Amino acid sequence: MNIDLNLHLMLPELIVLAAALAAIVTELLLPAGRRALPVAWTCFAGLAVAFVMLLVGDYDGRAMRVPGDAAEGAPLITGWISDGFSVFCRQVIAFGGMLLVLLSMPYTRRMDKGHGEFYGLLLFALFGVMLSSGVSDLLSFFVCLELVTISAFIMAAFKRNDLRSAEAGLKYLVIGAASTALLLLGIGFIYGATGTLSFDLITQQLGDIEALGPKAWLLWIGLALLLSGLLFKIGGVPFQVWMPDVYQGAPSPVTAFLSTASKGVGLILFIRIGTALLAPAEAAAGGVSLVAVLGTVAVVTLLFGTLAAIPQKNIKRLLAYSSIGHAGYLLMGITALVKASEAGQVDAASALLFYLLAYVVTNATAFAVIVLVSGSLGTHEHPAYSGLAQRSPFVALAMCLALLSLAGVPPMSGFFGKFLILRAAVNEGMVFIAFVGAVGVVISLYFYLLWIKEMYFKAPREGAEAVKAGSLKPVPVSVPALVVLVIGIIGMLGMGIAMGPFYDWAAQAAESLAAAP
Amino acid sequence: MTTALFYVFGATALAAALLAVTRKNAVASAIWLIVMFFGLAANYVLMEAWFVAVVQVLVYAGAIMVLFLFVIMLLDLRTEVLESTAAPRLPAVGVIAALLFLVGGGIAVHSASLDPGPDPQTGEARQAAALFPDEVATGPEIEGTAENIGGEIFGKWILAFEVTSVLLLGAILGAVILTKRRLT
Repeated sequence: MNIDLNLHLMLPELIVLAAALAAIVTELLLPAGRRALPVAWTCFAGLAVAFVMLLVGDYDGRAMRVPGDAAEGAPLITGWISDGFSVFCRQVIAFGGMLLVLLSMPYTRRMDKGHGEFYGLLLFALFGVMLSSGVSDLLSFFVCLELVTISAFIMAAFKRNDLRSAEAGLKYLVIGAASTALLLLGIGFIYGATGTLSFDLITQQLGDIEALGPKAWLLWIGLALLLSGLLFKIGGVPFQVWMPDVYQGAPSPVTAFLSTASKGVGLILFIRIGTALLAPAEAAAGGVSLVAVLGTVAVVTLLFGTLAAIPQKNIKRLLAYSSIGHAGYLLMGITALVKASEAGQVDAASALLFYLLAYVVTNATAFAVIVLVSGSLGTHEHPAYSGLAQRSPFVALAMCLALLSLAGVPPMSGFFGKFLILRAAVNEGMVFIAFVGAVGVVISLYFYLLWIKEMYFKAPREGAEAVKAGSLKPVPVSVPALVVLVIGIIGMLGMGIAMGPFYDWAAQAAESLAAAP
Repeated sequence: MTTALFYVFGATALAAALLAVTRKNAVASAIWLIVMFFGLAANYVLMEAWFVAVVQVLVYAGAIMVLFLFVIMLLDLRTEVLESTAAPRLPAVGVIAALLFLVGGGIAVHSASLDPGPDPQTGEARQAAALFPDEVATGPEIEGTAENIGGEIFGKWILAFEVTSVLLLGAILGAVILTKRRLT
């Protein structure tokens, strides 16, 4: 049997995987107490090499298609393709992964053991996210998603002796297992209706929906169940219940992972499924409208996230609700993507990709600050942030810019992310949804500004029970965390002020998505 | 004949699964789970997936269930413990899943008897799409022997197989992390 896998297209992922294994072995070889840094830098190096390779190398597999194979972007390995879209996503995730490793360093330095396991699991998950950007059938879709989810379950419960962390892991596991069951049932229904797992072949059958007869209903139920699995990943209503508790209980670097890479996998797969399956399904559907369902979920998610974030006194819970609110914006973009014709699809997809890029950088910055502050004060409650600007002006500045970017204030990157998505929604005639999105920005400004007020216009509190001694001293900033903060500030401002090249980059990736059959 | 047997074994598996989640006694649950695994295995045989059926019995009904029973024995779970920790929301999820399954199953059964109408292009009458025909109608006809399955897994589906192996390695790491007595 001759199998040409074209494995070189997957080389960056394989390097990430090798770095994960190397990290686990490094942990075993080194004496206790001197493990933290070598393990972390091994992982960082692996991700950096993968990122550079993706940046300079040519990984566009469409140019290499087998002669005689009509379909452009034909799968090289069954169920996996490497096109411009996947290359873009892998670049973003590898870069975000580098930031995650850097911001984990101040945290893992405080652990005696378990560095290899922590970073190993993180890289396994990132490996899954990177692979997931190229899935082209439901089997690899499921396997990649589960690799990310199961690694995240374990990482959420990593601080085993901490009750909240254990609770977070358990809650995430139970709700995640339920959503996985729904997802798997959905894949089963789709397979039962069409007899295939490949996106292309399912799309073909959607083109002639009449031929399926009553079995088309199985396909609809399957797609609905598939959506529920993806909504769980990005935190859409009604699958958002796990987020606040898990975000709060999980170790801070893990929360950073959940809000960047794990959310990213949901978005990446949503865009893939959206263009490959949902848009043709919407075109084929007579009475069933996916756009109505998705649009409703988007509005409810957005309002739930922004309104529930107002009373939060814990920064991680606040970012959890903010993350739900952002899921609402992402769903708006996806609704536009499903509704649009080909040209509009590229617009919506490039808006979503720009959003992903902006969101990863912003959240990495915010969580780097959280790791630093909780490292020095041991709490995430709001007194820890009182007067932060007087104690550590630079850390406070980074947090302030991150919150403004999350709120969507120009000229931050977050503003253009939201703006592009609302524009895509208006272009598709969904004015009401875009209006709700704009109202959401105003509401969210209120609670983000409350935290900025806490940092800048309040005196540092001492004696508050939650805050240990040392609340008047500056927050110690280690070099890796400093690098994250600097990159974050440059990224957030740079993507806001000079958004052109970044948007073109995203648009280029989105075009390859529409070119796929 | 095959269809009738399918319904018999399918009903057995469903009933056993229902009993497994409703029993208060953990050992009884585990035994019903074994019955469910056997029901599934029988259905695999009906689909000519011999190898999968054997693996189902060996691994799930055999090895994994032995582990289950050992864990139950070692933990010495009592009925009242289980009652006090029962989560309130899970029944709702179960009911929703069951409803969806019933609706889907009903459509699946009915679709066998419904007429899809004439073909829009040619105008000819089309054959009704049957989900459970006596003979396997769609999909590649591969007999489920170990050789064929090996060829498929290590050929066509190699990516999913390898990613699964990474997943399992992650799960092993997790088991070590979460159960090791002393971490610090």
